[in-house]
Amino acid sequence: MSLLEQILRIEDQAKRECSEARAASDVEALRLKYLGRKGELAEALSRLKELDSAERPRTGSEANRVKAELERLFREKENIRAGKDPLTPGRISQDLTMPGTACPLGGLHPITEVTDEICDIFARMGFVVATGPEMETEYFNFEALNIPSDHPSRDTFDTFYLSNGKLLRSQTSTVQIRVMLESRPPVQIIAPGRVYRPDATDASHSFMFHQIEGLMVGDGISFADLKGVLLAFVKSFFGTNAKLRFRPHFFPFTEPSAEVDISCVMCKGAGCRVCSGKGWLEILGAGMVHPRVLECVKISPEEYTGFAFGLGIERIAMLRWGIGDIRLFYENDIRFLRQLA
Amino acid sequence: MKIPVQWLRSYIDLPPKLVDLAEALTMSGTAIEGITQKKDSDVLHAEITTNRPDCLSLLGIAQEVSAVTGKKIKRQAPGDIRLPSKHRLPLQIDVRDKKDCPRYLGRAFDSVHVESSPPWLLHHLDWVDQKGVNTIVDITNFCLYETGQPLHAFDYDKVKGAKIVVRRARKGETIRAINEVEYALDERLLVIADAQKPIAIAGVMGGLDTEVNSHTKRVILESAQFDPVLIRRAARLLKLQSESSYRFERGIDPQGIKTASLRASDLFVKLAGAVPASQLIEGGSGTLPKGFWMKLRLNRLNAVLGTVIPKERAARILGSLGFKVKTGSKTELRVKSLIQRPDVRREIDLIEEIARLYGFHKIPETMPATARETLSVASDEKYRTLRQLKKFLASRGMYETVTFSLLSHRSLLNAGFGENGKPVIVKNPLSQEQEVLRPSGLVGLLDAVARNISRKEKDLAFFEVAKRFLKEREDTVLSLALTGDIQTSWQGRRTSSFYYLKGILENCLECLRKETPAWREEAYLSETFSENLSLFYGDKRIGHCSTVLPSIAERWDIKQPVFFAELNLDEVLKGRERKRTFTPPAKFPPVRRDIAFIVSKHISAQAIGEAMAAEGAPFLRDVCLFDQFVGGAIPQGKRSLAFALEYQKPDGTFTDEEIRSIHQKVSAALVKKFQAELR
Repeated sequence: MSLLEQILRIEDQAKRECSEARAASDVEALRLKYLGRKGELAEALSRLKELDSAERPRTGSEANRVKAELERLFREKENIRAGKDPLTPGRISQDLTMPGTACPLGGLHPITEVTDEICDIFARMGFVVATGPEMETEYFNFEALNIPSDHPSRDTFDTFYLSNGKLLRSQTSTVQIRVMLESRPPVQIIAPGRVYRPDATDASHSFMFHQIEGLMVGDGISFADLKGVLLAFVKSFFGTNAKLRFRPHFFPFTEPSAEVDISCVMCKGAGCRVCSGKGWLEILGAGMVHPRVLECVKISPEEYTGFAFGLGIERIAMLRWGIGDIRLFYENDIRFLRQLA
Repeated sequence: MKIPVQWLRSYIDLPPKLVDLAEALTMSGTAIEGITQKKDSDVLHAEITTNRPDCLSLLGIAQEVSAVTGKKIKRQAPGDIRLPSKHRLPLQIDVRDKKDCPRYLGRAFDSVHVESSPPWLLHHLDWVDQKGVNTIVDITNFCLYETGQPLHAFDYDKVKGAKIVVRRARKGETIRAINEVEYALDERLLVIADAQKPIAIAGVMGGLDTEVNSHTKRVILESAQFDPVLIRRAARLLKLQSESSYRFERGIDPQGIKTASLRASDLFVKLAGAVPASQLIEGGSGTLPKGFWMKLRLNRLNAVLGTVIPKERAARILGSLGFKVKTGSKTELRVKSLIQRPDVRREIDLIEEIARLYGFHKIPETMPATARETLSVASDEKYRTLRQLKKFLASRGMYETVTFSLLSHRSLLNAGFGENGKPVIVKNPLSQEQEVLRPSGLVGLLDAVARNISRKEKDLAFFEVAKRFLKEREDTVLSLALTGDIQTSWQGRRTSSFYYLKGILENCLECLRKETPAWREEAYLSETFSENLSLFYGDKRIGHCSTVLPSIAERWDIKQPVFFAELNLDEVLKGRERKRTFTPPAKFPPVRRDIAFIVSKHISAQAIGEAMAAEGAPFLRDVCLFDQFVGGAIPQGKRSLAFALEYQKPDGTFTDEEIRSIHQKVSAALVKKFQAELR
């Protein structure tokens, strides 16, 4: 076989082996084998001088062509393995509609999204975020909030009791007390967090859920201020057409107390399945901080008044996105999380 | 509370449209949840809050309606009972403890014809979903709904010794109640007993033996007041609730004890032909609580509400609720307490009464002047910092989860946590899934991973910022779980690994701008994790990065590798800030030199990197591991590592000789220290 034939043979063999190569190291090995200092092509080229001057130029240029071709082939193969675009004639030219390949985004949990949005709205009004422990004492969860033991009003605030003598807080109102003990008025806080109630779990109830508590105590704070702040909040969160309705209610830690409804987000008050035909959806509990609660934290109700309010985050999130089952929040099905991220 | 409209009409005139009444009641504090239709009457269903036991009767509701509509209540005075001189039945009332039973009224009746009640009475009871039993029982039920005072009738001839004893039960005593269930009693429970044994669970339910039926000829009527706490406890202990216990728990109006008794007596006579055979016999202390005067300051009223309600209006509202009002001064009212309104005891309670009847909707909306200084804003800063952290993780392709803080004990054992670090136990779980508080975020994330894998989603990157609980404290932790591919694109695939998770943790610390912790490989929770790197600030472990043991993941039906990390954010946030200072960039580019060598597998990359940095100081300014190679020509137990080193002089260039000399120094150190074979 002539040297020329040999060189062409090398080319075929190298191409075949290259197409079979699987890993970058395979390609490296091939490069070494064919293009290395002691490689096949080098070895063949070293015999060029044995040829006579007629054949030498042609064989030599062929050898160079093969060398360039193999180099290009190996490089391209490596690029494929490294995932870069192959840019070779004869193949498909770039399709710019192929998907982008940066790392896809993840997302925050819808509960966090809603919490953050609510905190931002209240931050603009001067409310600062406060937090408190989830394992609480009987004192902070009941006594300090004017909830008597051995009375039916306790029933609404049933709690989980723990082996270390504490309990799991049943409302974020406990944070009100802690803040007022730590800080003299004026106080203006918003406190999001997990709460726990031993309620049977179903599509609208979970034994663990999230609340946000708001508290403002200062000189001359009134019920009218409470109304103004909450109206500003719902307009920001639900839209400027949102309307509020305050209904007298009872909480042991506020007086006067109110349940606050928003005009139904679905039917705008006409009546529908979501609001059970009422046109209103209950979303908040609120009221003026009971003087007994203030007295308990050594704040004189004669000097300061304040209001407090609480809302359930899951409920708000369910209204915003039309989620029918509260349990979806805790399943963490990635298809659910992806939709709302 | 069911309010039959036709029944209510006998006490007060109602507005023509029922929906208007329902709306007015709702907006003044008596929430009407719905209206149903019964034979000949609509029924309003009211939610009565626990502070308004006075609304648990139709007369009480009538008072509310009167305040709301301005109409007057048609008062009905129960007739005075004439006592025939002959024919007295003996009856003794013995109340053992005045605190348990402040007041007891009993009266005996003779010649009672017990049959079925007249239609009007059955109708009334049907409106409140009560079945007719017999005249006597139906009358007691009727009076309960009308007045809010629970009454009970005993068959006189079945009450041994004609004696009513109000006492604590004794251990061992039992009673078969009228619901035909036998209850075991003890000294925690108050009973009505005769000379021999308990005949009723006081305030809750009567006994079967002494119940009034068609054979009854003579009757004892009970109207009493019991300690609400005792009744509440009894109802809970025996898991037995009744219309009576519901009212006693919340507190009844002591004034109604006598009124209701007279009302029932009147009806016994009229409908059952009964003949009163005794006076009203009293037990207990019999005294009513004293009324007292409260002061209402007008400027206080308007300051709290943010309104301008004039004195006359305030007085009129309180008057319409039945309160006696006197003018104290130009700016003050004096208001007398009402026994039937124990929820109104101080000025703020009066303010609430006025506000709810004035109308919450009439109170304006104002914006308060914002408070300037609140807390040391540490809590707000922590919230914002964690928010940044979460956003960073989301941008890294991770999804935030919310998993339960409560777990089943079994799931902790399945996760290999064993008995050490005993978790906090929940004493009253509703199910197995609520038995303990979680000491780590692992189980919740394994649950989420398993659930998603079962739904054919196997590429998952989850994180959660939440509490974990230990006996004495709770920590805010960041938990991370990775499994499957991090990214699949047509340009290639990247699978999750221990090192990727480690990288995420490094990023988190950078993102939080906290000092770098020390990383130490150690066995940590080795029943759960197959390999573990822990993070330390000094001696304190602040986090770890691990691979979950396949045998553990298997228990969740997870058959692919899962990587888990947890970082104690409370500790990290306490850490020192990583200092950011500015130094002007060097004028001259750095010199890069690669170095590759073979070294024993047992020598850590960290040690090698540290040794090179030490040796090359002060000019070696970056050491970057860019390749690792095992197998092939590399002998067993060894690996080939390649580092890219960068040398920099702040104010000049290196000569070739200088570079060669430093690089040589570094290489020599590697050979000497680690027996490295340079390549």
